[in-house]
This record gives sequence, C-alpha cells and structure tokens, in this order.
Amino acid sequence: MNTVLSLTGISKSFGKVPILHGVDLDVHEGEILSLLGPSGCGKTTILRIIGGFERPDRGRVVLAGKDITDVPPHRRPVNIVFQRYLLFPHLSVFDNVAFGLRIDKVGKRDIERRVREALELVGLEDLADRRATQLSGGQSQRISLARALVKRPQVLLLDEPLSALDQKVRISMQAELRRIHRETGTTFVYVTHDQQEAMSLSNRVVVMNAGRIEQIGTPADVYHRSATKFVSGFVGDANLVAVEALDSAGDGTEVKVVETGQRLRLRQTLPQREAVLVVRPELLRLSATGDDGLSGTISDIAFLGSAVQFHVDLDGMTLRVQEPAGAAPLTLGVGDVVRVVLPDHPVHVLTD
Amino acid sequence: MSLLRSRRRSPGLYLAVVLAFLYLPIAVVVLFSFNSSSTLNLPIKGFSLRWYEAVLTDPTYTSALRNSLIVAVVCAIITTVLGTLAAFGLTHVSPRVRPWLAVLFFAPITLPGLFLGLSLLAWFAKLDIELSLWTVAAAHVVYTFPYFLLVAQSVLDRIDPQYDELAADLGASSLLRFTRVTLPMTWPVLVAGGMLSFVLSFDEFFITFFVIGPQSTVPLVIYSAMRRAIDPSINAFATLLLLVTFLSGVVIAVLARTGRAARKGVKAS
Ligand SMILES: Nc1ncnc2c1ncn2[C@@H]1O[C@H](COP(=O)(O)OP(=O)(O)OP(=O)(O)O)[C@@H](O)[C@H]1O
Ligand SMILES: [Mg+2]
Repeated sequence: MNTVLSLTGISKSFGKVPILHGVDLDVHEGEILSLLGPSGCGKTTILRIIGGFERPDRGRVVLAGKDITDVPPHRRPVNIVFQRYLLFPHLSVFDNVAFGLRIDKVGKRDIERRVREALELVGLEDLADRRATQLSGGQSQRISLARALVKRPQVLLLDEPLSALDQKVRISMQAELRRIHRETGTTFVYVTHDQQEAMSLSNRVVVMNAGRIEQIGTPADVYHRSATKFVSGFVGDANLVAVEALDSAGDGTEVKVVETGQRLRLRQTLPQREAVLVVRPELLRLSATGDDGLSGTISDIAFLGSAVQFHVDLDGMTLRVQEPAGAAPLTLGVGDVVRVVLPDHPVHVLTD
Repeated sequence: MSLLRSRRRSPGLYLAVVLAFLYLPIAVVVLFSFNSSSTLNLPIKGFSLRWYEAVLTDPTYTSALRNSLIVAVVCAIITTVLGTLAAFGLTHVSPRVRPWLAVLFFAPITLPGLFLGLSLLAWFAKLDIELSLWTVAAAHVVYTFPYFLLVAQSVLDRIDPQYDELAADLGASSLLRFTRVTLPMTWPVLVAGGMLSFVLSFDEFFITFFVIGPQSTVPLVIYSAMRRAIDPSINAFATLLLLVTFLSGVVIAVLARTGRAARKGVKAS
C-alpha cells in the first residue's frame, strides 16, 4: 500500500484559538479516506491545509514524496470540491469544466476530449452547452466534481460535497461517487459529519474530535472495535456498560454491572478488572423468559421501519435494544419486565 | 366611507405635487427648447428645431460640448482604472486595516466642491502646472473617485471569495484569477461606475470653474450665457446636457442590473 499523501504533526490556530493539535495522517494511493467528526472539529481546516488555502503553524504536508507545505494552491496537483457547489456564473458548463485545462494550456483537441469524458463520467454530457446558472443543485455538484477530476489530481479533496443536497439525491450520489472512484482510481479524501455516509463510502475512516484524531480504521474497525468512547458514540449508537470482573473461569467471566449492581456472565475474559462493554443495540436481544442477561423494564418502544427500538430501564441505567422489525416480539409493551441478552460471541471492550 | 376614500387618494395627490415640483422646471426647459419663437412665454408658439441648429453651429457651444466630452471620457477612464485597483485592493487587505483605508478613500465625498476646487487650484499653482482641460480631468478624478468606489465596493463585497480559491485550486495564478474570473464576473458594475463618473464629470461646475484654463465646458457656457442675456439656445443646450445625463443613467441602471443578475444566478441552491 503506497502512501500518496502524508500529514505529520499538523497544528493550526486561528488567532489564539487552537483548532488542530498535532494531526498525523497517511493517505493510501487509490483509497477513499473519510474524515468524520462533529461540526467544528477541524475537518475542513485539514482539507484546506492539504489544498494550500491555510498554512499549518507546525507540521509538514508531503505529497508523493515531495514536501508541499509551502507550495501555493495553484501549484499543487490536488483539487478540491467545495461544500457549496460554486460554478463560474459567466461560463457555460463546458467552459467551467475546461477552466483548469485552459489555465494549464492543454491543446484544444485534448481539452474537447477530456471535458467530454469528464462530463460523461458524471452523466451530464448533454448539458455541455447550458449556462452554469441553469442547473439544479445535484447537477451543479456533479459539474464541480467533473471540473476537479478533469485535471487528474493526485488526490481529490471533497468537503461535504453532498450536504447541500436533499436526502434522495444524496443517497444516489453516494453510489455515483463510488462508481466514479472505481472508474478513475483517484485517491479521495472525503470530509463528512454523516457517519452513515463515511461508512458506506470509504475504505478507511478517520474519526476526529476537537482537533485530534481519535481513530483511523476500516468502517468495520471503527464500528465494531471503537478505540474510544467518543468513537463508539459518534459512529452509530452504542450502549456503554461499565463492569467489574468478579471471577473468571475458563473462557468466561462473571462480572458486576457497576451502575446497577446486577451480575452478568460474559463469554470472554477481560483484559483488566474494570472495563467498559461497548454493545451495539442490534447485538442485544430481548427475552421474556429465562434468567440470562440483565433484567429491566421496557420504558419506550419506537418503530424505525426495518427495526424496532426498545428502551429498557435497569436500575440506574437505560439500555437501547434494536430488534429486526420482523423478529421483534410484538407482544411486548411498555411496562413489561424483560431480560436483555448479550450476544453469544465476545463483545467489544474498552479499558483505560 | 367617503372620508376613508379621500384619505386613500391623498398620497397620490402629494406624490403628484412632489413630482410636479421636481420635474416641471425640467419640462419647461425641454419645452422651450422646441419653441419656434424667441420669447419665453407659455403657451409656446410652435414646434421648431431652430435652437438646436443654433447650438450645433455655434463654435462656443460645440467646443464646450467637445471639451466636456473629452474631460468626462478621460476622467471616467482614469477613475475606472484607479477605482478598480482600489476596490480590489480593499477586498484583499486584512479586515483590521480595511475600514481605515476605506475612510481615507471615501472621505473626499464629504468635501464641498468649492473646497476641492480651491485646494486643487492652490495645488496646481504650487506645482506650476498650467491650467487646462487636463487639470480639469485630473480634478474630476479626485471628485468622482469615491463615487466610483462606492458603486464598485457594494458589489465586490458581495462576491463570494470562494471563487478566487476555486480558480486558484484549478491552477490559476493571481493574475489569471483576476482576468479570467473576477473581471468577467464584475465588469458590468465597473463600467456602470465609469459611466457614473462620466456623468458626474460632464455636468460638474464648481471644481471646473476653479481649475480650468482658457477653455470652457458645457455647464460653464450655460452659466455665462445666462448671465449675459436670455438666449433661448440655452434651453436646447441644457436639454442636450440632460439627454446625455439621462441616457448614461439608463445605461448605468441596466449594467448594475446585469451585474446583480449574474451574481444572483450564482446562488442556485
Ligand atoms: N478562517 C478562520 N478564522 C477563524 N476561525 C476559523 C476559521 N476557519 C475555521 N475556524 C474555526 O475552526 C474550527 C474548525 O473549523 P472547520 O471548518 O475545520 O470545522 P469542520 O470540522 O469542517 O466543521 P463543519 O462540520 O461544521 O464544517 C471552528 O471552530 C471554526 O469556527
Ligand atoms: Mg467543514
């Protein structure tokens, strides 16, 4: 796996406000890497540093082995698709896409061919002669994409390119982006604060919080093996259950749930006496009978379409349980006493 | 009921009175410019273009017209170039310095023409510059510059700075960003500002009066003709002045609209 872009020790403040605290990041050739994090955590700032629009206070940016920290944006072989899809209003769609090639003094025939190819790639070859001001939001964003891709950047930077579009268009554009990525093989660095988008698009996800990287990993890594409480809560929903090991026998452990005092048998050994179980709601099951798991009272039921979500109050904590809609026990109602059962396999554990 | 209705009608009446107050004097001048008789009495005797013919064949008037055009065109060109540089400069300096610079650039707008004329005269005298149409044009640049900047800035301030970053991202150096993006997106407004400066210069009186040499311009000729005797050709001459101003006004309005429409199209979301 070749590293095409690497950031080392990037720090940045605006005025006296520190925004990034020593970010280290390697981007592999040909991957889609997502920067995922809450609003204001510094995702756009990282992208702007890669694009050359902001200068880091400390740290280096290295692209294909060359230090580009001090290279101005117009000399960097990377291109960006901004969150607000801006097309040059005085140019036609064709001329918008051709803009960068004309700047580079590419020959007329090559421009014609490459622009057509780029428009075909985003499925808008029929709109070449339109005025830039006569396009819908989704079309404008595709043109922005074509305009950046036509320059064949070593890395394509995308700053929440779909966030201004409505839900339906957004989902279809995600599939479109995956296809375009497959067809061009370009490396994407993709900023989003939508965890679903990050998971479905990327080869690897970088989860950020307050100017720091919390975890870098595949979507499955960050989802099933979250490195921190923050990641587990930001990437999907997670029940965090603090436990204390009482007694371990064979490959199982008897633990006490700290908040409720209830006892529970785990099918794994714990790395240390005190730990936090990270259990996704869909991994838990409800059972009206038996003495497995933890006992609680249903306090809320919400129908989510493909699943049904239950809130189960235990003494001092609430667990969220998600049953597939078809399998959900329909006889259960608010107020019923149930048992919450953990999966058969070992659950993810955080220690600190 | 009737009380209500009369109340509702009265704003229309007030507006009519105000409009009459504003435009009747102008209408009278235009009307008399087509009068076939030389007496300034209403109603006019008949329609004729004799005063226009008189104006366009009298060298006093034609040379004044030519001088005014030369001064106004030169002034408009210089103001447009300097003003454009200043306007773009202002959008690129740090936000902390900008208001102070803007005050410096806009301040001359508050100076009375009398004062500007006097101080410029003193300045030209000090530098031993002979008074001519060129000194008038230079003085008019000082006078119209802030107005140009006002028009240009109002638009440049609202142009999304991200266009500049976008062009840079696509490989454009700062010069190419200016010629390929900023200028094509803003030229209608810059031309409108230039036209405004043309109009302001064309009928400027006070400053011209101080800094002009042996020549004369349209407003000066009208003024001195009025002092001598009431010559009806003045009405035709003033109407021509009005026509130039009015047409320029229309062009300015259209250009300003074009500029605004272009920017509106941008916010497609
Ligand atoms: N030019 C600037 N001057 C001052 N502060 C800035 C500037 N740009 C960004 N910031 C601040 O830096 C912080 C991080 O901004 P950034 O745009 O990188 O966040 P983000 O993760 O992209 O958030 P979002 O999801 O809302 O786009 C924010 O608190 C923002 O207010
Ligand atoms: Mg952002």
